[in-house]
Amino acid sequence: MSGPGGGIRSTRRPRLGDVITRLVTGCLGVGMILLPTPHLTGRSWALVAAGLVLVAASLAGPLARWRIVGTLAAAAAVAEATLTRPDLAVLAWEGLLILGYLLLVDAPRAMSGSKAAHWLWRQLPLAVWGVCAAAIVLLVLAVRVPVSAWLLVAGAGAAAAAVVIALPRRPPQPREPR
Amino acid sequence: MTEGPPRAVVPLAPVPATWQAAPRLRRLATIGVAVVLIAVLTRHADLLLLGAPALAALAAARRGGRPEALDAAVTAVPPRCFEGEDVEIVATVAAPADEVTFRIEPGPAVTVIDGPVTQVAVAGQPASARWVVQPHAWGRHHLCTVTARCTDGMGQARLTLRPERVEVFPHPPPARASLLPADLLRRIGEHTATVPGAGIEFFGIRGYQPGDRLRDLNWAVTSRLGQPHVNQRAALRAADLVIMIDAFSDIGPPGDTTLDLAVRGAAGLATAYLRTGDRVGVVVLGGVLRWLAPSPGNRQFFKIVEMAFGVRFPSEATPDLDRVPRTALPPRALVVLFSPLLDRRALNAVTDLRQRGVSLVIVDVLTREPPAEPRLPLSQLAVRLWRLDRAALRSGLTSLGVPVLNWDSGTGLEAAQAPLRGQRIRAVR
Repeated sequence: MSGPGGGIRSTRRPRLGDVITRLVTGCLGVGMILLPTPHLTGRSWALVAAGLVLVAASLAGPLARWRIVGTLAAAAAVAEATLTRPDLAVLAWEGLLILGYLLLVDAPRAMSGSKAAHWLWRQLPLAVWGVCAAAIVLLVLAVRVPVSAWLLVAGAGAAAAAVVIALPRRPPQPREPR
Repeated sequence: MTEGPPRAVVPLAPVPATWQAAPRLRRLATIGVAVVLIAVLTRHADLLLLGAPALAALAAARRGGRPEALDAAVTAVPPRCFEGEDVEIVATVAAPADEVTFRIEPGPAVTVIDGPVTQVAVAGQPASARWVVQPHAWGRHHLCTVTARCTDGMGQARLTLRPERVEVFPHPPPARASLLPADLLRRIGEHTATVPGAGIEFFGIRGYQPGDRLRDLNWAVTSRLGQPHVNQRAALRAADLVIMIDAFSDIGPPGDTTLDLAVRGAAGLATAYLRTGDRVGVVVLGGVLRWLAPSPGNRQFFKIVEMAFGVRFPSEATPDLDRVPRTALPPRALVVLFSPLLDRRALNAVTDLRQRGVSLVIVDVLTREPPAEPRLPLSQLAVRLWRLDRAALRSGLTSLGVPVLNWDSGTGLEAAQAPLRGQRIRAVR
């Protein structure tokens, strides 16, 4: 747009880093949706279609601005896995794919190649932590222990604690001098 | 490749930051908690594998105290420019953040011509962004707003930065100092007067008198009449121009309103007359009557423009031209009124000026008609009536001896002046 009305005249071409990031995110998203499909039956296939549409919408198009689209795509993958109940290895992979997708779907737009590489490098620690957690849970589940509700309660408590720990804290207000 | 002018170093100032949960935190927490709930409700612990990586990433994210204020600044260079010139906007944030996303929102009648609208700086690199914008409306205003979103771990802060106001001078359209009053001043200038003097233009022939220069002898007439005759030259005189700006009405899209056009026309006319050594003054007809006494020189142009920055002052008050001192509206000055001729108070001012015996020219700056709905016959009829009313108004002013010129923003002021070229504007009471 130009002229007295004002606006933005420069046309932005998609940058290489942007394309790469979206491509990787798309692969992770498609992977998390398609991984449990061999065990799907009947109407559950609708979840696959919905999940793929949500993944595509979270990457490009007018809906990409809505952050809830990415969350819904991940929720669709969780729902698929819950319905199909695959074995532990598939569940672990599914969890890692969901983590990867959720980390990358937030990647800022308009990054150059070097910036995208730098940004992806900075996400690596979170991914490593996710792999470690998946390995630990996999190990715990692989070991035969009597069924206990306490384990689930402990898991729920750990989840709540993680959220509380990660929430940003407001620094304490300094006391007013008397 | 030539280097541009050195950039001004602006110290960063602390900007209050309110940290909130980043969208990533909400996403990971939603999925993690949902998975745990499903695992509890379905009594299948193996489903925890779906959410464990997300929860681990949440727990591993950087936490701790974050600064209450972030050092940031945004600059606009140069601080003064003309319409259509480039202004560089540089935003800088010095924050210990993982990534900073800058986004520029140009103001009305401002165009971003260089730099992506959204720019990202990742930690480890200088968090700054640069754009080049072009203002298309004169005035003293903020050209843009820059939003910086700083993401640090799972927290996010949003800063809104505004550069200092930039003074955008109106771009003067090409104009000529061709509108002249019938009686010029007795000061030496560059306009051809209607009296003999020491100018260049031919004025007449008269008999030789002692003291005349021999080079002025007209040999053809002298030989024919047998008496020595000399050529007379017209005098070169200066003029006083007073530009009036009707600030009562301001109609049109931002950057192209009638007031924008009036000020641009005033700037163009002032430039043309100041270039020829005339004195130019300005009177703003608005809620507050303001004036600037005629004065020569380039500095007067900037004084006029500075005064024009304050014309947008909506008011219901009627100006009293009697309050304008004699120095601001000197006798034998030509008054050019830039007006859309929409407000009754401006027309009253025209009547007042006529009664004071001022040589007056009106430049009509209304270039748009009221919008007509093609499907409504009454709407089209109303527009036709409006056109007739305008034509009657202009005809009435012309019959009173006040010439009305039409000026379209797309053309230079020279074309608008063409109908009066070679004519002298007489004061009609």
